[in-house]
Amino acid sequence: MVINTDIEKMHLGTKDNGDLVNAFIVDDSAFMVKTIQRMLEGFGCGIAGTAADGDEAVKKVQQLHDKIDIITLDISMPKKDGLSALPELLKIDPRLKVIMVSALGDKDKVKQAIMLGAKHFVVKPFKQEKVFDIIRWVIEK
Amino acid sequence: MNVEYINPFLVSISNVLKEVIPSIDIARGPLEKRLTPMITKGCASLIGVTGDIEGRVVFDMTKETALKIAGAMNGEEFTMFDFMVSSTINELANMICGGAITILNNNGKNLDISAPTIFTGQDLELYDSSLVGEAVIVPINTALGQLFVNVAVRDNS
Repeated sequence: MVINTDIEKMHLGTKDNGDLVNAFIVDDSAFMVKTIQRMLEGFGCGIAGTAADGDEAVKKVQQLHDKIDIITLDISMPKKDGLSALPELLKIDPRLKVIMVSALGDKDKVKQAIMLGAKHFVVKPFKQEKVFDIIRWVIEK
Repeated sequence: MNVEYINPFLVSISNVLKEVIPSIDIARGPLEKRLTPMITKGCASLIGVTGDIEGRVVFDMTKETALKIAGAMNGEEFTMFDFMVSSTINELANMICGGAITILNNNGKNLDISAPTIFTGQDLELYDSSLVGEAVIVPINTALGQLFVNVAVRDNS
């Protein structure tokens, strides 16, 4: 998870309307929020906001969803975990593209997340190049 | 405790540390078995393990080592043990434990882990339930300092 913020080839560019791809980060670890934010900003993403648990994410996404394209959603969090928050986030705005994040490569949880509407699943620690490819694939899908 | 449960942690430590701090060289010291109470080094991140095996894993180090590891993972220098240092060390423990549990689950176990909790302070004594018996401690030597992986689990399956 070494973040190089100066790699020209890893840049998402802008959407058809000229706007940046905007991301919302949900993770209870301040370190992970900071790391993911630095990485996404390096890809040329705007950061629409962050949340430390599923409840906070649902509340903030209700207000911000029209400014968000992708959400990175940690699975293990206090109050409301990622798998519980996922359907609520997609109910607010089915256009949102959600990428699940977890330290545990649990096949059942991967299947459950995809069934619930997540677009992809990333296991920590992740490589910057891999996350870039996933985000590009997700936004082009 | 079955020492075979230690190997996935050793594999995961190597994988995770090399990913989050690519310049780091690590060398494993000799395994040690010890009964509680144990005195922690100054900064201990504890994660519970539940399922077919049950117990806890502690990632133990001095505060100085924690500051250096957190600094290397964040790309900045920390001089005080603050919220970001604690979050970084907890996430390191979470990723190492998550990787080890994934290996065990891929080999037929059904396990989950709790969120990490960090304890700081000199000479904290760690007491385990008598059910888990001896802990196995593996010192990991790095240029940033020593990290002690302390595993105490029992087999429920």
